[in-house]
Amino acid sequence: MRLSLFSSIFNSSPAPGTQVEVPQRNKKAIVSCITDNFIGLGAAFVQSLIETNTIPKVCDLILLTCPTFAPLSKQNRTVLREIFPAVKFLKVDTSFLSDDLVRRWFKGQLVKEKIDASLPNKRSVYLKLHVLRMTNYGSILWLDSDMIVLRSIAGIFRVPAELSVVPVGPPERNLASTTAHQKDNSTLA
Amino acid sequence: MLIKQKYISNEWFDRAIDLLHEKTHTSVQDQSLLNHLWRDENKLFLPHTYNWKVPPDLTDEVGEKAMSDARVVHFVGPVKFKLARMSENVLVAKFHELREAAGAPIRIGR
Repeated sequence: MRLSLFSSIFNSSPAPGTQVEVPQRNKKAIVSCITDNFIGLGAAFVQSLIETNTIPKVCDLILLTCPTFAPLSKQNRTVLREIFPAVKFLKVDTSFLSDDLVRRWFKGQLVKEKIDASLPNKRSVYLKLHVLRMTNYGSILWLDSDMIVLRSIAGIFRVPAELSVVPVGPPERNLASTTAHQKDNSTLA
Repeated sequence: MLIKQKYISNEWFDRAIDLLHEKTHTSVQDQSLLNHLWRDENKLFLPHTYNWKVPPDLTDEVGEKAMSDARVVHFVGPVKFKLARMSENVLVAKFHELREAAGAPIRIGR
């Protein structure tokens, strides 16, 4: 399987002069979520993508939004468009974010009426789940908008794995890439 | 997190939402939900340089180390609220350089 994946990566160039329609499933996207209250971080994040050439030529930059849980004003959208004019804003159907999410249950019993996620903008963290249904893309790189990219990571799209994550722990640990089949909790970032 | 075709489907989305709404062990209903959903899946572990978490006590040494070694730094948790108050640290200076180049206000938090 690995061989076929590598083969599809490196031997996919069309013959000169041939017009080939790229299948939707080959599309790539970098997806994140920027909200008004963190526009400073979000703008620095997008700027860092540009300055490091992290966005490949054929790749969308998509920012998930929701008027209730992840608001982004017109003014702030303008700021972001001025950094990267091709940025796309995608309004997410957040009907899956029910009020029940602010409660905590144990074996079917309500044990906590409210958690801090009762603050509407806290629920923005769940917008990430929308990437799972972005089925018109074949590769999606999710980056949190409180990150900044210091060196290009554009090459990450060539990684021949279906699921790539950074394990939990401080930076000093696990500096080498490994493949694993594990049951513990890793940080999917 | 990089996901490819195998993990991009309405089926995976539905499974994630089912997990989000289940009421037997809701400790997984936070940001670790995807950890739980894919706990038994094969995955490639990327080096920490791809998600260099900046600790709350962001010292000059930590900032210099991150600038030297990291590809992506992550201002997790409360450290992001310190950014507005700091400027001497090289990593924080880089953040402000990017933010100013973007023409964005410093607003961080509500």
